[in-house]
Amino acid sequence: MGELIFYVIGGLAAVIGAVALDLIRDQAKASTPRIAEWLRRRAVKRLPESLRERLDEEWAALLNETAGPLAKLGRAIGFLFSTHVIVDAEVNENLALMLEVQEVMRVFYRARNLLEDSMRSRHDLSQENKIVIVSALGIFDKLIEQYHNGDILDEHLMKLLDELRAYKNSKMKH
Amino acid sequence: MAENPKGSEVKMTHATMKVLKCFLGQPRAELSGADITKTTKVFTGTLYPILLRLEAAGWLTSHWENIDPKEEGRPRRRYYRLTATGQRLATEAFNELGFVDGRLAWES
Repeated sequence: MGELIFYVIGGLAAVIGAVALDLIRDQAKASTPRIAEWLRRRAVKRLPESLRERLDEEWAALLNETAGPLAKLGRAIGFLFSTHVIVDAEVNENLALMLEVQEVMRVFYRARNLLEDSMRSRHDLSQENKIVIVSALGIFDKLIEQYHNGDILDEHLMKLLDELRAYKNSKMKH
Repeated sequence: MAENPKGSEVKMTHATMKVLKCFLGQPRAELSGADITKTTKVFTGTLYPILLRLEAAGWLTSHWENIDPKEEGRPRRRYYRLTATGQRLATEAFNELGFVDGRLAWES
């Protein structure tokens, strides 16, 4: 008798378990695209502003043409990873640019000091110092060409560059 | 690393080479992100940083699909195409790495 009860309860548990698993699977199937879309939005939200609008639509199109809930989820996780890589690269690039600007500033101040000394002492610049100034201008021009963007080369730096050019024009032609 | 016309460098990683190889195989084709992942099997998470970098370097150019998303009921795809410079520099980079027709010279 005890054995029979055991089998009945076991059978019932198996049936209930199978139904519950089916329900969970259906629910997961239905929810996965929504989760994927949520992850996509989250990835887009964390992107740099300049890329947000573009990748929002581009990734929506890619998710739209991805068949199957699990594949959609995989893509969405990929978007999150992309965002991480893009943001990381941007931080590194900004750091590199900051160091580059600092180096340019250093060369600029050296050039300006040389010009000021020369003006004060009324002595002509040596050939070596002229080269330093021409190099400083060259670095600035290259930087401007590379990052022809007012946000990066701020007003202060542009003003210093004009100052250096003015020094060069007033002194070096002699 | 390969030089590019905008001054910075393109990192020739394995995934980047797969993407470039995909474009070099059909230099005039316009490919969406879905087309590229399908051909190269490069993970989406790796693909987009590569595409953005190659575009920023001037190797690729991109444009939106010419449809009205409301009419079509779906978002527009973005299509990527190899530029003439990209084609030249990618070919040079592959040659430098010892590739002939997309395969390592000593393999063929």
